[in-house]
Amino acid sequence: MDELITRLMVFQAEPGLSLVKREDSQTQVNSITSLPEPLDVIDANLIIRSSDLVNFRVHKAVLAMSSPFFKDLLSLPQPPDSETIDGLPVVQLSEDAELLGSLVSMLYPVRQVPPNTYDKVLCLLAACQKYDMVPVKSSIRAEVDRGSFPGPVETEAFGAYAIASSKGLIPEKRNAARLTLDHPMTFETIGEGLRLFEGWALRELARFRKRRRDNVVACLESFLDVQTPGPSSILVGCPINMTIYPSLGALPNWLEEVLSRKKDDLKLHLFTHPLTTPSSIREDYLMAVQAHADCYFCSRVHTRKGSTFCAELEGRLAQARDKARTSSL
Amino acid sequence: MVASDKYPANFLINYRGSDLILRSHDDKHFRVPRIYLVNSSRVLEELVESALDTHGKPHGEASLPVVQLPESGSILHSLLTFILPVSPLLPSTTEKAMELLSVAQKYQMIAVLDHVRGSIAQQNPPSFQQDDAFRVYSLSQKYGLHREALQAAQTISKYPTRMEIEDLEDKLDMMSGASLYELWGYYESVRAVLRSDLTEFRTSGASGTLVGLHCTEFSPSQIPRWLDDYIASIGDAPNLYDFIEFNGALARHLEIEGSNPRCECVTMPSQTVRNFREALASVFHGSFEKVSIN
Repeated sequence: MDELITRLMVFQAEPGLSLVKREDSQTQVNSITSLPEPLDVIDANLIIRSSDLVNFRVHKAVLAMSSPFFKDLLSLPQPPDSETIDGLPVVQLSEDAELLGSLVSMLYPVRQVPPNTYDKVLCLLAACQKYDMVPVKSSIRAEVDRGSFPGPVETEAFGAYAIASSKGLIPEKRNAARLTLDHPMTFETIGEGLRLFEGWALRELARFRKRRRDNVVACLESFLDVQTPGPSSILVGCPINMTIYPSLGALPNWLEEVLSRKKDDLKLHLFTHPLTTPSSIREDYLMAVQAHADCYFCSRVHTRKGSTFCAELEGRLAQARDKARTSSL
Repeated sequence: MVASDKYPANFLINYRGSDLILRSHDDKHFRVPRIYLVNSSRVLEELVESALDTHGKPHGEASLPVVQLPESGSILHSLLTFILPVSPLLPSTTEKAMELLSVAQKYQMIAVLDHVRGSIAQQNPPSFQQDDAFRVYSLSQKYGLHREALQAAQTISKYPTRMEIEDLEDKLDMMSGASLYELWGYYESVRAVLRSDLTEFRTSGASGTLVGLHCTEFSPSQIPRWLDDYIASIGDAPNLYDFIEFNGALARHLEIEGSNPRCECVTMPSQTVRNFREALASVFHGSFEKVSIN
């Protein structure tokens, strides 16, 4: 028993996990839950109990195969005073029944029970991380990528970032951080989701957004710069500009306005403004060049090279938004 | 009160007539009369009794019973100076002062809490800077000190800075998102109440305090326009509730209308000014009192 307790103390990530002693079994247990149909196993040899006292009948071998954590735990001798139900030992876990139902369904060749929100997906991933269930974790991520499991929707990305940060789910944290870039980072937008944040996580997200904003501003500035040869050089020579600044090579006003407006909007806010999306800048470009259709020079350049120019602008903006210059995320 | 040389170095208090030793988690000892402890806190009284019941009469130095407490020696030392009839000793940092309050709160020492709060107020008048207010708010939330959290939130809400995440960048890691959300909720609520109360104050003709005042332009509720604008501006920026700001508004008005014979604001009777300011103060402070914090 002492050996088992020692192992539990080493492995357990939360105090809720333990083999259940007989005296603990006085607590009211809600029900005995088996795996989803049709795999209602009759030869189960272990019961895992959720935090809300629902029992799941499972196979030790299945748990041990999916999780080195359980493999170690179950290799220990069963303490004499531990609770049994129908002769099966009971392991108390700290996850609730809904989460355990999803988790257990992923261990067997049965219809999966997907979590119904992305927050719950993150909790499921955190449980897999805790129990060292690497393949299951990969499967869950694949299901999210496929769309079979829910992903973060719109401003839920902020709450998802907070949960992923606190649970150490690095890929989910990175993804959520990127998704927040499309939304303003304000009290109103984050709302109740703010309660999920640790102070350090909020500050880390602010710094991430600031770095990405700087990247995008630098990208827009590179397109505004025509003093050195660059992507915008092809548009220098608009005769309307030449009448105003005859001695200077300059971008056409319509393009300069599009790029400057985006840049100035971003510079106005340190990190709270949503970042320019590649698709939105193409739309703005097209609207501006159409409004300038009277100019033969700009129309000709647009017809010949506008599509390539837009693609490059979009590509570089996308790169600037995704460019990781830090190891913190 | 400090232990004399004949006692070990970890003896921080050796009060005459002591019949109990308190021991901190960092092994500092305090010889104190039990009567002061049990009279200041029912919780401590139970702890002392329980320690004596459980262990019979545990004996430490000088054959006195010993009660082990989870607090640090420095906090216990400070706490005991507020219990014993000696000069109170406040911790030197805000963090420690908040911790002291939280310990007094934990032991349900109502009188000691008041005593500590009084000492803090004497040393740190409530006009602390915004950065301090954020720190105090954060610590108060951490320690569950409701009164201090509310005071700090009120200070923050009266400060000119907007309550926007962008403006709080350097304070984001001071507190949890939950505490920050509560603070924002308080800020929004108190501003809404203040705006509403000030609107009512304006429509009531500043509670009738400005009757008989002659000026060039009046609001629909018969307040001089410049005063009406000044009152309204406080709703958006509570830091403008200030005598200097009031005089500034008057000066700007007189600069334009001072030579107009229809404007008598320059000779506004001092009693009228006093009445107006008192009525405004009542509305202003009343608005803050209406909103609480979780």
